[in-house]
Amino acid sequence: MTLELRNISKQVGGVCHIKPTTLLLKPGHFNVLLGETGSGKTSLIKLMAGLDPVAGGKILMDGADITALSTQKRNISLVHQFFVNYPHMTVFDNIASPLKLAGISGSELQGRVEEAADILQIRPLLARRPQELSGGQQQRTALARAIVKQSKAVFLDEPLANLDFKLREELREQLPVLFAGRGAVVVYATSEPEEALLLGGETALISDGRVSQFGPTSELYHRPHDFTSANVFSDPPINAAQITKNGTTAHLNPETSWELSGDAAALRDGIYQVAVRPNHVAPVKTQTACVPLTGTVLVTELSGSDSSAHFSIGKDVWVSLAHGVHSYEIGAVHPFYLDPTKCFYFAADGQRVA
Amino acid sequence: MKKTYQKAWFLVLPVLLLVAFNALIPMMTVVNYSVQETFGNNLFFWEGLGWFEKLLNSDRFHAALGRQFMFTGLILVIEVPLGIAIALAMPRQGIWVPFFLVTMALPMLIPWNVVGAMWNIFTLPDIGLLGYFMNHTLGIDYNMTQDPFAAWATIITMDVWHWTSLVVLLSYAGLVSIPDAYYQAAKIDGASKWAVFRYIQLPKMKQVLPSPFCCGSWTVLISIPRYSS
Amino acid sequence: MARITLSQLRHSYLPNPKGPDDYVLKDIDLDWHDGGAYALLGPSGCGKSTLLNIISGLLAPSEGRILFDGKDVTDLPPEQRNIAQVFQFPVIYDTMTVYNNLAFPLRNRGVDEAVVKDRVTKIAEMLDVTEMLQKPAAGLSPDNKQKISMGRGLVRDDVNVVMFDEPLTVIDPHLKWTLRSKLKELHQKVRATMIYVTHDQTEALTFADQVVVMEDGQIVQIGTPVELFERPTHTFVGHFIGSPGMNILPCNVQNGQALFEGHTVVLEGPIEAGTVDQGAGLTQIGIRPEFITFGATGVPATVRKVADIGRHSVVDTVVGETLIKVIVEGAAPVQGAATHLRFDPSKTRLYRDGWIATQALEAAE
Repeated sequence: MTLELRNISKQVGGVCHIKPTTLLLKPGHFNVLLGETGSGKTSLIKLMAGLDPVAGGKILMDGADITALSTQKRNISLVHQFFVNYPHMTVFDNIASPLKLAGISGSELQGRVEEAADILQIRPLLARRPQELSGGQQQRTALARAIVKQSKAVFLDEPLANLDFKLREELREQLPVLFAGRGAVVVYATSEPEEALLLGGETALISDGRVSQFGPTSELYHRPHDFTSANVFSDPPINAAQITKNGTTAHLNPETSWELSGDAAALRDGIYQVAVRPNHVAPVKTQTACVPLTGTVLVTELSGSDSSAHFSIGKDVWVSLAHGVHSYEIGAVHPFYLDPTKCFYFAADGQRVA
Repeated sequence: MKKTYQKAWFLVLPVLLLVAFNALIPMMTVVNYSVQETFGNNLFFWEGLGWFEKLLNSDRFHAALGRQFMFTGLILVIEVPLGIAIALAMPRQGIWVPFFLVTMALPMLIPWNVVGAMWNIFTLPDIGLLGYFMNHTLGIDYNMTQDPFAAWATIITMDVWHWTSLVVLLSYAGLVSIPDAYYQAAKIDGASKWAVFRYIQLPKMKQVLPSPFCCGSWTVLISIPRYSS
Repeated sequence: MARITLSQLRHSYLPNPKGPDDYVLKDIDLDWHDGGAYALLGPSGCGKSTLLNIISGLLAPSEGRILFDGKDVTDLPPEQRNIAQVFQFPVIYDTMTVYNNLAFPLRNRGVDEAVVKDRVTKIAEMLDVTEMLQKPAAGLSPDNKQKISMGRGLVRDDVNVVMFDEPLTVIDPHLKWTLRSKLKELHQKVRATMIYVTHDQTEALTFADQVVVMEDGQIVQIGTPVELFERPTHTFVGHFIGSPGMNILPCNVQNGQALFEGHTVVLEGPIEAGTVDQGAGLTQIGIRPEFITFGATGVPATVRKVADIGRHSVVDTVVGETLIKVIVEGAAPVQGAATHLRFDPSKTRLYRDGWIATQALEAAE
């Protein structure tokens, strides 16, 4: 079971929404589409699901061309960001609906619905109607409908976006377990980098209707090909600035410079862009985070176990993200420390060079 | 991939034919008559644009046109505010909602020609319910076939009765689509009832209100001959 | 600005509530200081929005009083309470310009036009919307619309409290942090009493000096972000705050010692006298994933799953039947490996029926 996209593209009124995209999506793990709202994740899913016509290219399922096949004939499931259930049916009938369409009835129907309900822990709710359920339960119902069908491909379009924070955490853990061993190609769209990392599998980074990089999720995180990919895969946004390379030294500004090593040291002298993730800019000096930066604190944030600070160096705004609770005074000059071993370097065309 | 099937146009053909027989052919006959003169015996003479010339120069026509516009203006001035007022007064939730909606829709469900006949009988001075009530109970001299003022009052009442509900239903649709948060925010902002109407409810209704204006004028244009028939 | 006191507040949506289950708010007592930044944090259905509507006057409580600066406002309608509220979905007067939107609350109160201009200009500057003042409000992006709704609340200088009801729901994730920080900045400039209702811990902890955590119509803990993270007084707070939340392990208490899967676990301090040593109630150990390390000695565990989430790894380990999550920076053990877990004693606490039952060492000394 594979889903292959060969140069598929989408145009609306002469405007290109999806640039020619080639992807080979495999079962057994999550295929994450990561990108900001409006980057083209949903458009791409609609193309794969057959809800929108492609402007060019082919879609193959298990090697067979399904480009011309209608959505109904593709044997797929789709779960939306908004909880889509039939309001006049009970949860049982909602889950059973794809099976009934497939002509399954009686004890087999009963058994399969109950099995799906068990997996999603909604068995006690089978007799209720969707409007009597909480958001999380409604989305579980929609998910149960998607798995009961045993379709060849399942598309999850930001399915957790409208759920409570903690509920999102719980369901996110259960999802991979849910689809494990089903043999279906699972495509999961999200705008949150951390969600992509937690789900693992393979990720396609999308921005402006283009897949900038595709591969194993953690590989992408640690080794982005270009600046776009590095930036899509960072929340808060990645810190970026211009440096001048001279010999084996990188100069950020007259006060700040650091020694380069490895590939970076071998680059030709000149101007490059440096990018470093907020978690590699620390509020206290450590063994690795050792290059001092002096910034004026603009804003601080605290999330559970992490603190972040936005600070300015000249015209640039930098972000530092660290474990634990750190207190900063807004407007104060505070030292931060950059980890030079975690920096990415990009050439003028945005390609990563080191 | 979706294909555009050009053959699908043939599916429209039956409707096209039906419309042609129903409307186009009779209409073209009328157009044909308008450029002919006849003295009976199915004998026709070419008249050219003579009738149109006469019509456009006729004082009676001008007066009629004036009355038509006055009528349109009057009923709009009555129906739009009245419709909005009723829509505002209607409950937006609860068990009475369907009752009010159906009640409001009732007049519109009655065909035009029936409306004319109904009101004709209704207003008959001696046996019509309204006519009898006016003349014999209230003692007001009322006969809409004799008195121009009574005729005016009657057809305006008739149209208001028949078409206000359209404005009500459209405005109501606009009103129910306003989320609660808007009313709550307005309360907190200290907005007066008038400000709520002016800045929240009216803008929402405006999205649907041009249509009653169009419908209103359209209704008037085609309803007068029918009512008076 | 005002101090807000909620006294013995209870609310039920039913006309004749019988048991405590019929109440969405169960006995709320709170005191909020003038000019503070507060958050009400809890899952959907915990009663936080009901509480907000009661404070704003959109809802009358079944029982209890609300006081602004000691003055009873329980029976006052919203427009007389001098409050401002920002809703989940931006509320914008579509037909007006941005300027008129911001001026609306002032004009409704008959404020002099010169003063209106002065206030609107100031607020627009704070919100970075000066250049769009003359634009029609209808065409703005969601984040700018939400800024305008905030602005309408802040433009009045007589507001007792500004309330935010999950204001970032419709904002794009990449813009959320800018708005979050804008809000914080605004609070520091305006110094109005602000109450922020959310289910998102980041929003609550970032915004507030003091967070009220609610569950099932009750307040489970009130504390600073640091307190909530470091020493949750209820297992719900431990679970709800932090990502992943606190590990909650079943345990037995014998002779003042906590036993987990047969291993003695050293706690932060003595188990509270009077409440414990006999095995009454449900006892649990609470320890955050951040405070567990791998070592050669400790509680033996098996690694079930390792998730590299970039900044650190979340390691799922199993001891007996119990799942324990551990956060490690740097090298993580491999899946299936046998290892030992070491709990930081100063961060390990005992909970009885959900509530904390150990004394912190400072308190014990």
